[in-house]
Amino acid sequence: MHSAAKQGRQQHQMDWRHHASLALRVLAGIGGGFACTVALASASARLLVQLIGLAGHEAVLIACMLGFVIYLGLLLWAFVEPRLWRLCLLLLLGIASDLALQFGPLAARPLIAGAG
Amino acid sequence: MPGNGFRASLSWLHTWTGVLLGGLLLAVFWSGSLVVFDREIDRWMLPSTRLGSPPVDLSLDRLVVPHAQRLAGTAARWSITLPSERTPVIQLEFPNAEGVSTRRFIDPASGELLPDHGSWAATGFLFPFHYSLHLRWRNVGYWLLGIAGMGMLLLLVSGVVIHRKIIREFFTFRPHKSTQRATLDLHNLTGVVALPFHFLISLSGLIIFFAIYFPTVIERIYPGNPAAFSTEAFGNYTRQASTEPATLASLDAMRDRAREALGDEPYMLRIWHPGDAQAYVEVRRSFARR
Repeated sequence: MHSAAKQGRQQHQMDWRHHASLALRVLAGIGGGFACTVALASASARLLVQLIGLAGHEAVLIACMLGFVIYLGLLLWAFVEPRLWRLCLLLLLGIASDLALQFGPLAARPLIAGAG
Repeated sequence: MPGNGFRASLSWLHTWTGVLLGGLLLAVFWSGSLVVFDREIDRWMLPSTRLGSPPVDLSLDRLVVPHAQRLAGTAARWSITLPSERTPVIQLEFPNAEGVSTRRFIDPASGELLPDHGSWAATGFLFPFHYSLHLRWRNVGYWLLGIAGMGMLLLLVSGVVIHRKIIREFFTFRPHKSTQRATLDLHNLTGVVALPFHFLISLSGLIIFFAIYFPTVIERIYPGNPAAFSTEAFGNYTRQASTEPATLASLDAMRDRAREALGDEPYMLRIWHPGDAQAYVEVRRSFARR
């Protein structure tokens, strides 16, 4: 009897951990994935302007269209990656890369050549 | 992972995305299918607009401007849509005193103002429902449909991965088995037949409203001045009203000049700040509208 109750408690604990990890995964995938998508799209737009010299509005349109595909990929990956920490790490790296562009050495370069 | 392995996880994702967003997607796709016939539904719901072919040459100055001045003299804009093969009436749209968009129809042959049926019909109700659910507050409708659109893309990709024997399943239909089995067979068949359409319908629906979903990207390239993006990308033009009154120049003359410049028949003229010295007129060409 005693061991059955203990087993039940363990089972309960595992369920709880499973649900918590799933909730975190859903949040990371949908919310974190969108934040990462916005960051990567913003970074791409900036790079297209600064490195290739594309017109600002063209860069915005390309980056935004790319954004939907990036988000789709991130969402799918969020639900198949076995290690949750890798998912969170990569999403954070994506967001960090955009922050680095925004405040790093490229930040001083002009965004739009000749446009006011 | 939510499931035991790669395919099981995607199967779990397919089930839950479908359960949570299926109803919303049905509403959007169903209204979207109806909207293909929106002008025809309009004729059906607004009997007084069932007129013969519109005259080839019509004068906006004579037929529309007097009505507009009487109905909407103080409105911030008038939008005049010219008659076409599918819409035999002139449409006049303007914000009323409360700022609510109002539509009236004018007989292009006689210039007579047609009675107001009080119905939004398909172009007024179904079409905006299809892309915004009529939830304009903080763009809630657009965001809900953005979630539904991304969900549809997820459903398509996960569906293809789950049904790995896609060719065999495509030719499988078991109507004599349980209803659930037969329904799943139909689900696989219709899903695969229309897969490219489903994908492009969902993706293009999302891309149309990119500015709502990704304002941050615009803000990043045009810091503090997102209007500059619209100006550069779409050639939008805008200017403030002065308080000086002025008479409106001839719309017919502008229409003729626009037709020459565009090489195409304009379908809509939008007069901003009518009756003001700073008024301007936006003319849209009809190449993409049939």
